[in-house]
Amino acid sequence: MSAATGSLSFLDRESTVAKPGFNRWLVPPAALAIHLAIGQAYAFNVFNKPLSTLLGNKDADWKLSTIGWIFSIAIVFLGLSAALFGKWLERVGPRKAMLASACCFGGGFLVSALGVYLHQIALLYLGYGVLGGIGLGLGYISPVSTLIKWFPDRPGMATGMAIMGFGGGAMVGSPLAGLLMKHFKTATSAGVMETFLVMGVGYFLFMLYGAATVRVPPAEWKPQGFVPSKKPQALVTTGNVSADNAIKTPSFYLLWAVLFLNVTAGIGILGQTAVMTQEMFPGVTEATALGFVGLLSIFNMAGRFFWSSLSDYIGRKSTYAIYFLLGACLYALIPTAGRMQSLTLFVAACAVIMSMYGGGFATIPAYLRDLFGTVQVGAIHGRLLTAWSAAGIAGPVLVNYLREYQLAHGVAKTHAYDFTMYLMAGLLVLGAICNFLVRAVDARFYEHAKPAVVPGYGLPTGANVGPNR
Amino acid sequence: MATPRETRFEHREVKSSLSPAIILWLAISWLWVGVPLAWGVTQTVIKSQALFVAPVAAPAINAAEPDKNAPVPKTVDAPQVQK
Repeated sequence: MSAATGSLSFLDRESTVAKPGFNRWLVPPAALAIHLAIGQAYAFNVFNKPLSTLLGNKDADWKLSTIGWIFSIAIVFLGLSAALFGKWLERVGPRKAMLASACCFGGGFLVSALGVYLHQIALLYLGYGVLGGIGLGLGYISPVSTLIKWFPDRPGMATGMAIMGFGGGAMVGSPLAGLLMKHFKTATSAGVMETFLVMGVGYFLFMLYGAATVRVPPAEWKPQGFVPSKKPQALVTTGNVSADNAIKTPSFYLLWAVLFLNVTAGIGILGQTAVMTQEMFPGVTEATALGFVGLLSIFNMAGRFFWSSLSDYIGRKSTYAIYFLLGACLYALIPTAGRMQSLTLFVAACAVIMSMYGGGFATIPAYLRDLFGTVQVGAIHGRLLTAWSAAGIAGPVLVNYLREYQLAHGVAKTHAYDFTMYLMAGLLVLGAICNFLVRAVDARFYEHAKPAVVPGYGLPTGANVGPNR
Repeated sequence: MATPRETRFEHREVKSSLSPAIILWLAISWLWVGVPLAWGVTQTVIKSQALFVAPVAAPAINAAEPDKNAPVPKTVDAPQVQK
């Protein structure tokens, strides 16, 4: 019996296939509704201080290091869920995946509120960490995969729009949490529990809009007037590669390294921005450092849209070549800016680096689409996001360890980051080499035959996804 | 002459049209996400202004070789930077 006949049939892929008259520009807001919500994750540390003073008893309260695990668990589960549920997403369609994401992300806040009420850190790990992390992973990949299918003519711009939303989510989440905590604060409470409850319900409803309005294009749909180029392009596939086959290709691992190195290097700036600015430029105030952090956020967000849109015109490989080569030069320039005590040069270099860091996230889905086709691009993207999780651990460890090492060996604080910056430049050169080595996927990895006509581009159940040998 | 496959494309194409109902729906959809995003960006821009108003509190004296015993600048929470 088809699931479509059930009471929840409106969630099925078949029910989300666009009807004649549907305008594809309705899909980006649906995608943004999800990404703007889950982007809140990077504003989670606004809760760190209030969570560490809930009881007002230093011995009984949670330590900052204990609270820090909440975010780390969420990022690990983001990568794991994106990798594990990618194929499921392609099978069931974006609406069900987005709804699951909204339930997990909103539910994660509610469980965390209970954890605050009972003062049980395990509930926060389970709530925001595990449940919320699964919501992050599902929510991150499902709109991206859908947009790529709606915008075959401009996939970079389409994914840039969604992933820009993830960047903007922190800008919304941080002041929102601040306002709510201020509103609910009493003489005996910091208002964290109430804030979690309101944000959980609010984000759930906000994401629900995205799930309700998302549509997938009918099989073999193309935009009006769009004529796919018949001229063979070096990296753009003419076939479709399944997620299981994609991980058998060298290009997948090269792209994994490309994303890993780009993110690792970016975190070199991100994780230390405020402290680094104050240490490299003695006299810079805390307020200025925070202002700089805000400025970088804007460049990070804008870069996601700008660079990925540009990649539609100059190609993904060229775009990544710019990220890596220009990025390496700018990283190498930062110690010089420190020696010159030129804050302007430092700010300009960091801003461009941040824009390219964001651009790296936004361009990767279109790169995957070029190499592996659209059929299971969401699942492949999910697997590639494990590079993000790995870089999220490697980057900060590398930067913090090197800083401590330099200081322990008597290097002045103004120069404590010099070696780190040169190392980051080296990582980007390595990334450029990996990017250079990316080749078109061999035709033996393509699907055997054209998939049967199933709505919304999904592979038919039971389709042979083995290599075409 | 169109091949059978091309013909199928034509039949399956979802045609874009801009009826008043769709324009209204587009406006509502983009406002739904645009308003919160614009609010968030505005808040961030306001915070960023500190960078352009007296970025350095005092001139750096002997900046290249600061006192190694000087206290570490206070680590500030940086919630707005998304990774």
